Amino acid sequence: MRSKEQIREFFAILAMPVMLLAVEIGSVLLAMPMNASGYAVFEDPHMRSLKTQSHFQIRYGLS
Amino acid sequence: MLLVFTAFLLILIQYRFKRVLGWIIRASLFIAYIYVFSGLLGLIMSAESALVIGTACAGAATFLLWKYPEWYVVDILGVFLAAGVASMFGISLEPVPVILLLILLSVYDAISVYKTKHMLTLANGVIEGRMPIMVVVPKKEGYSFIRDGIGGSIDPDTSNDESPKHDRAAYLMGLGDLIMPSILVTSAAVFTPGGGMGIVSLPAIGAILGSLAGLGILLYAVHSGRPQAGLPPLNGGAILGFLIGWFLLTQ
Repeated sequence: MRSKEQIREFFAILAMPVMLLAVEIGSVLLAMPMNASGYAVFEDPHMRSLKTQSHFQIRYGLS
Repeated sequence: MLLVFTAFLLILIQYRFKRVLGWIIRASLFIAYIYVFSGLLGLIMSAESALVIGTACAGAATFLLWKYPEWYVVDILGVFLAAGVASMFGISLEPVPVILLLILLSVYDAISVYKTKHMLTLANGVIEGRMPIMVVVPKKEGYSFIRDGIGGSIDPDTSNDESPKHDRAAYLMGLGDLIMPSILVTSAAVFTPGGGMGIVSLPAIGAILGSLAGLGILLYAVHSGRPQAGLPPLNGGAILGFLIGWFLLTQ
Protein backbone atom coordinates (compact mmCIF):
# COMPACT_ATOMS: atom_id res chain seq x y z
CA MET A 1 0.00 0.00 0.00
CA ARG A 2 1.27 3.46 -0.88
CA SER A 3 2.09 5.78 1.96
CA LYS A 4 0.34 9.11 2.38
CA GLU A 5 3.50 10.96 1.38
CA GLN A 6 3.84 9.03 -1.89
CA ILE A 7 0.24 9.85 -2.80
CA ARG A 8 0.81 13.51 -1.94
CA GLU A 9 3.95 13.58 -4.08
CA PHE A 10 2.07 11.95 -6.95
CA PHE A 11 -0.55 14.72 -6.85
CA ALA A 12 2.21 17.35 -6.65
CA ILE A 13 3.74 15.90 -9.84
CA LEU A 14 0.29 15.76 -11.47
CA ALA A 15 -0.24 19.48 -10.74
CA MET A 16 2.57 20.45 -13.16
CA PRO A 17 0.91 19.12 -16.37
CA VAL A 18 -2.42 20.50 -15.14
CA MET A 19 -0.88 23.98 -14.87
CA LEU A 20 0.83 23.67 -18.27
CA LEU A 21 -2.49 22.60 -19.80
CA ALA A 22 -4.28 25.51 -18.06
CA VAL A 23 -1.79 28.01 -19.52
CA GLU A 24 -2.00 26.48 -23.02
CA ILE A 25 -5.81 26.35 -23.14
CA GLY A 26 -6.01 29.72 -21.39
CA SER A 27 -3.70 31.36 -23.93
CA VAL A 28 -5.83 30.03 -26.83
CA LEU A 29 -9.02 31.27 -25.15
CA LEU A 30 -7.46 34.68 -24.45
CA ALA A 31 -6.24 34.96 -28.07
CA MET A 32 -9.63 36.12 -29.30
CA PRO A 33 -10.16 38.99 -26.82
CA MET A 34 -6.48 39.99 -27.11
CA ASN A 35 -6.77 40.07 -30.89
CA ALA A 36 -9.99 42.08 -30.66
CA SER A 37 -8.29 44.59 -28.36
CA GLY A 38 -5.52 45.03 -30.92
CA TYR A 39 -2.75 43.96 -28.56
CA ALA A 40 0.17 42.51 -30.48
CA VAL A 41 3.82 42.22 -29.51
CA PHE A 42 5.27 42.22 -33.02
CA GLU A 43 3.51 43.07 -36.19
CA ASP A 44 4.52 42.80 -39.82
CA PRO A 45 4.19 46.39 -41.18
CA HIS A 46 3.19 45.02 -44.60
CA MET A 47 0.48 42.84 -43.09
CA ARG A 48 -0.69 45.69 -40.85
CA SER A 49 -1.25 47.98 -43.80
CA LEU A 50 -3.46 45.31 -45.36
CA LYS A 51 -5.57 44.77 -42.25
CA THR A 52 -8.45 46.82 -40.97
CA GLN A 53 -7.44 48.82 -37.92
CA SER A 54 -8.62 47.40 -34.63
CA HIS A 55 -10.95 49.13 -32.21
CA PHE A 56 -8.01 49.84 -29.87
CA GLN A 57 -5.87 51.32 -32.65
CA ILE A 58 -8.67 53.57 -33.83
CA ARG A 59 -9.45 54.79 -30.30
CA TYR A 60 -5.82 55.67 -29.60
CA GLY A 61 -5.01 56.96 -33.05
CA LEU A 62 -2.36 54.27 -33.62
CA SER A 63 -1.59 53.57 -37.25
CA MET B 1 19.58 41.92 -25.52
CA LEU B 2 18.70 38.73 -23.62
CA LEU B 3 22.36 38.11 -22.73
CA VAL B 4 22.94 41.73 -21.67
CA PHE B 5 19.87 41.72 -19.42
CA THR B 6 20.85 38.33 -17.91
CA ALA B 7 24.36 39.69 -17.19
CA PHE B 8 22.79 42.76 -15.54
CA LEU B 9 20.58 40.57 -13.31
CA LEU B 10 23.54 38.35 -12.36
CA ILE B 11 25.58 41.42 -11.38
CA LEU B 12 22.69 42.58 -9.17
CA ILE B 13 22.59 39.15 -7.45
CA GLN B 14 26.38 38.91 -7.16
CA TYR B 15 26.79 42.34 -5.56
CA ARG B 16 23.84 41.92 -3.18
CA PHE B 17 21.51 44.34 -4.96
CA LYS B 18 18.60 41.95 -4.58
CA ARG B 19 16.21 44.75 -3.63
CA VAL B 20 16.88 46.41 -7.01
CA LEU B 21 16.32 43.06 -8.73
CA GLY B 22 13.03 42.73 -6.82
CA TRP B 23 11.85 46.15 -8.02
CA ILE B 24 12.82 45.37 -11.63
CA ILE B 25 10.82 42.12 -11.53
CA ARG B 26 7.83 43.81 -9.85
CA ALA B 27 7.87 46.62 -12.44
CA SER B 28 8.01 44.04 -15.26
CA LEU B 29 5.10 42.09 -13.75
CA PHE B 30 3.08 45.29 -13.33
CA ILE B 31 3.54 46.27 -17.01
CA ALA B 32 2.72 42.73 -18.20
CA TYR B 33 -0.44 42.64 -16.04
CA ILE B 34 -1.57 46.02 -17.48
CA TYR B 35 -1.50 44.49 -20.97
CA VAL B 36 -3.30 41.32 -19.91
CA PHE B 37 -6.03 42.99 -17.81
CA SER B 38 -6.71 45.92 -20.13
CA GLY B 39 -6.68 43.59 -23.16
CA LEU B 40 -9.39 41.48 -21.57
CA LEU B 41 -11.42 44.37 -20.17
CA GLY B 42 -11.34 46.03 -23.62
CA LEU B 43 -13.93 43.48 -24.68
CA ILE B 44 -16.60 44.72 -22.30
CA MET B 45 -15.83 48.44 -22.01
CA SER B 46 -14.25 51.35 -23.85
CA ALA B 47 -10.46 51.34 -24.37
CA GLU B 48 -9.93 54.27 -21.96
CA SER B 49 -11.90 52.62 -19.13
CA ALA B 50 -10.18 49.27 -19.82
CA LEU B 51 -6.77 50.93 -19.52
CA VAL B 52 -7.66 52.69 -16.25
CA ILE B 53 -9.31 49.66 -14.61
CA GLY B 54 -6.67 47.31 -16.10
CA THR B 55 -3.91 49.43 -14.55
CA ALA B 56 -5.70 49.34 -11.18
CA CYS B 57 -6.09 45.53 -11.40
CA ALA B 58 -2.42 45.20 -12.41
CA GLY B 59 -1.41 47.32 -9.41
CA ALA B 60 -3.54 45.15 -7.08
CA ALA B 61 -2.08 41.90 -8.49
CA THR B 62 1.52 43.17 -8.24
CA PHE B 63 0.92 44.45 -4.69
CA LEU B 64 -0.57 41.07 -3.65
CA LEU B 65 2.43 39.21 -5.11
CA TRP B 66 4.81 41.58 -3.35
CA LYS B 67 3.20 41.54 0.09
CA TYR B 68 1.76 38.03 0.21
CA PRO B 69 3.67 35.70 -2.17
CA GLU B 70 2.07 32.50 -0.82
CA TRP B 71 2.25 29.54 -3.21
CA TYR B 72 -1.43 29.56 -4.21
CA VAL B 73 -1.38 33.34 -4.87
CA VAL B 74 1.80 32.94 -6.95
CA ASP B 75 0.28 29.97 -8.85
CA ILE B 76 -3.10 31.55 -9.68
CA LEU B 77 -1.68 34.92 -10.75
CA GLY B 78 1.28 33.21 -12.46
CA VAL B 79 -0.92 30.94 -14.59
CA PHE B 80 -3.10 33.93 -15.54
CA LEU B 81 -0.07 36.06 -16.46
CA ALA B 82 1.57 33.22 -18.42
CA ALA B 83 -1.64 32.62 -20.41
CA GLY B 84 -1.97 36.34 -21.20
CA VAL B 85 1.66 36.80 -22.25
CA ALA B 86 1.64 33.59 -24.34
CA SER B 87 -1.55 34.79 -25.98
CA MET B 88 -0.06 38.18 -26.91
CA PHE B 89 3.04 36.59 -28.46
CA GLY B 90 1.01 33.80 -30.10
CA ILE B 91 -1.33 36.16 -31.95
CA SER B 92 1.65 38.28 -33.08
CA LEU B 93 3.92 35.61 -34.56
CA GLU B 94 3.28 32.89 -37.12
CA PRO B 95 4.41 29.33 -36.26
CA VAL B 96 7.71 29.42 -38.24
CA PRO B 97 9.28 32.37 -36.32
CA VAL B 98 7.86 30.89 -33.09
CA ILE B 99 9.61 27.56 -33.80
CA LEU B 100 12.91 29.39 -34.47
CA LEU B 101 12.49 31.35 -31.21
CA LEU B 102 11.74 28.14 -29.28
CA ILE B 103 14.82 26.38 -30.69
CA LEU B 104 17.09 29.35 -29.87
CA LEU B 105 15.76 29.64 -26.32
CA SER B 106 16.10 25.86 -25.77
CA VAL B 107 19.77 26.00 -26.76
CA TYR B 108 20.32 29.03 -24.53
CA ASP B 109 18.53 27.32 -21.60
CA ALA B 110 20.60 24.12 -21.98
CA ILE B 111 23.89 26.08 -22.10
CA SER B 112 22.94 28.27 -19.11
CA VAL B 113 21.90 25.29 -16.94
CA TYR B 114 24.46 22.59 -17.89
CA LYS B 115 27.52 24.52 -19.08
CA THR B 116 27.81 28.05 -17.65
CA LYS B 117 25.32 27.25 -14.81
CA HIS B 118 24.44 30.94 -14.49
CA MET B 119 20.73 30.09 -14.72
CA LEU B 120 21.02 28.23 -11.40
CA THR B 121 22.55 31.31 -9.74
CA LEU B 122 19.77 33.43 -11.21
CA ALA B 123 17.08 30.96 -10.08
CA ASN B 124 18.54 30.82 -6.56
CA GLY B 125 18.45 34.62 -6.32
CA VAL B 126 14.86 34.67 -7.50
CA ILE B 127 13.79 31.95 -5.02
CA GLU B 128 15.61 33.58 -2.09
CA GLY B 129 13.80 36.84 -2.83
CA ARG B 130 10.43 34.97 -3.12
CA MET B 131 9.96 36.59 -6.51
CA PRO B 132 6.75 35.42 -8.14
CA ILE B 133 8.00 34.47 -11.61
CA MET B 134 7.45 30.74 -11.17
CA VAL B 135 4.78 28.27 -10.14
CA VAL B 136 5.20 26.41 -6.87
CA VAL B 137 3.66 23.02 -6.04
CA PRO B 138 3.99 21.95 -2.39
CA LYS B 139 4.94 18.36 -1.62
CA LYS B 140 4.37 18.57 2.13
CA GLU B 141 1.34 19.40 4.25
CA GLY B 142 1.30 22.85 5.86
CA TYR B 143 3.86 24.16 3.38
CA SER B 144 4.32 27.93 3.08
CA PHE B 145 6.37 29.48 0.26
CA ILE B 146 6.82 32.67 2.31
CA ARG B 147 8.16 30.76 5.32
CA ASP B 148 9.90 27.73 3.76
CA GLY B 149 10.96 28.76 0.23
CA ILE B 150 11.83 25.41 -1.35
CA GLY B 151 13.66 24.20 1.72
CA GLY B 152 17.21 24.67 0.37
CA SER B 153 19.28 25.72 -2.62
CA ILE B 154 18.64 24.36 -6.10
CA ASP B 155 22.27 24.91 -7.07
CA PRO B 156 24.23 21.77 -6.12
CA ASP B 157 27.49 23.76 -5.99
CA THR B 158 26.23 26.26 -3.42
CA SER B 159 23.87 24.05 -1.44
CA ASN B 160 24.81 23.28 2.17
CA ASP B 161 21.81 21.06 2.59
CA GLU B 162 22.76 17.39 2.91
CA SER B 163 19.27 16.02 2.33
CA PRO B 164 18.51 14.59 -1.12
CA LYS B 165 17.02 17.09 -3.58
CA HIS B 166 13.82 15.08 -4.02
CA ASP B 167 13.13 15.69 -0.30
CA ARG B 168 12.62 19.40 -0.94
CA ALA B 169 9.34 20.85 0.23
CA ALA B 170 8.08 21.95 -3.21
CA TYR B 171 8.43 21.57 -6.97
CA LEU B 172 9.16 24.73 -8.95
CA MET B 173 8.74 25.61 -12.59
CA GLY B 174 9.68 28.98 -14.12
CA LEU B 175 6.93 30.93 -15.90
CA GLY B 176 9.09 30.85 -19.05
CA ASP B 177 8.72 27.07 -19.17
CA LEU B 178 4.94 27.51 -19.23
CA ILE B 179 4.89 30.47 -21.61
CA MET B 180 7.18 29.23 -24.41
CA PRO B 181 5.31 26.08 -25.55
CA SER B 182 2.01 27.95 -25.06
CA ILE B 183 3.11 30.59 -27.59
CA LEU B 184 3.38 27.85 -30.23
CA VAL B 185 -0.01 26.41 -29.21
CA THR B 186 -1.69 29.83 -29.59
CA SER B 187 0.13 30.63 -32.82
CA ALA B 188 -0.90 27.22 -34.23
CA ALA B 189 -4.53 27.81 -33.19
CA VAL B 190 -4.59 31.29 -34.78
CA PHE B 191 -2.56 30.78 -37.97
CA THR B 192 -3.16 27.10 -38.86
CA PRO B 193 -6.87 26.59 -38.18
CA GLY B 194 -8.83 23.43 -38.92
CA GLY B 195 -9.03 19.76 -38.14
CA GLY B 196 -9.28 20.01 -34.38
CA MET B 197 -11.91 20.82 -31.79
CA GLY B 198 -13.49 24.27 -31.99
CA ILE B 199 -10.83 27.00 -31.97
CA VAL B 200 -8.07 24.51 -31.06
CA SER B 201 -6.73 23.28 -34.41
CA LEU B 202 -5.03 19.94 -35.09
CA PRO B 203 -1.48 21.43 -35.05
CA ALA B 204 -2.37 23.19 -31.76
CA ILE B 205 -3.58 19.87 -30.27
CA GLY B 206 -0.34 18.27 -31.50
CA ALA B 207 1.70 21.02 -29.79
CA ILE B 208 -0.29 20.56 -26.53
CA LEU B 209 0.22 16.77 -26.51
CA GLY B 210 3.89 17.17 -27.47
CA SER B 211 4.59 19.66 -24.69
CA LEU B 212 2.84 17.40 -22.15
CA ALA B 213 5.02 14.47 -23.31
CA GLY B 214 8.08 16.75 -23.00
CA LEU B 215 6.99 17.69 -19.47
CA GLY B 216 6.72 13.97 -18.62
CA ILE B 217 10.35 13.50 -19.71
CA LEU B 218 11.38 16.60 -17.76
CA LEU B 219 9.65 15.45 -14.54
CA TYR B 220 11.29 12.03 -14.85
CA ALA B 221 14.69 13.74 -15.20
CA VAL B 222 13.97 16.15 -12.33
CA HIS B 223 13.14 13.19 -10.05
CA SER B 224 16.83 12.23 -10.19
CA GLY B 225 17.43 15.28 -7.98
CA ARG B 226 19.57 17.39 -10.34
CA PRO B 227 18.24 20.71 -11.71
CA GLN B 228 17.27 20.36 -15.36
CA ALA B 229 16.83 22.78 -18.26
CA GLY B 230 13.08 22.82 -18.85
CA LEU B 231 12.88 24.34 -22.31
CA PRO B 232 14.63 21.63 -24.43
CA PRO B 233 12.09 18.85 -23.64
CA LEU B 234 9.08 21.20 -23.44
CA ASN B 235 9.82 23.14 -26.63
CA GLY B 236 11.11 20.04 -28.43
CA GLY B 237 7.90 18.15 -27.63
CA ALA B 238 5.70 21.10 -28.64
CA ILE B 239 7.53 21.56 -31.97
CA LEU B 240 7.40 17.83 -32.77
CA GLY B 241 3.71 17.67 -31.86
CA PHE B 242 2.95 20.76 -33.96
CA LEU B 243 4.75 19.28 -36.99
CA ILE B 244 2.85 15.97 -36.68
CA GLY B 245 -0.47 17.86 -36.35
CA TRP B 246 0.38 20.08 -39.32
CA PHE B 247 1.37 17.02 -41.39
CA LEU B 248 -1.93 15.30 -40.55
CA LEU B 249 -3.87 18.50 -41.37
CA THR B 250 -2.31 18.85 -44.81
CA GLN B 251 -2.87 15.18 -45.77
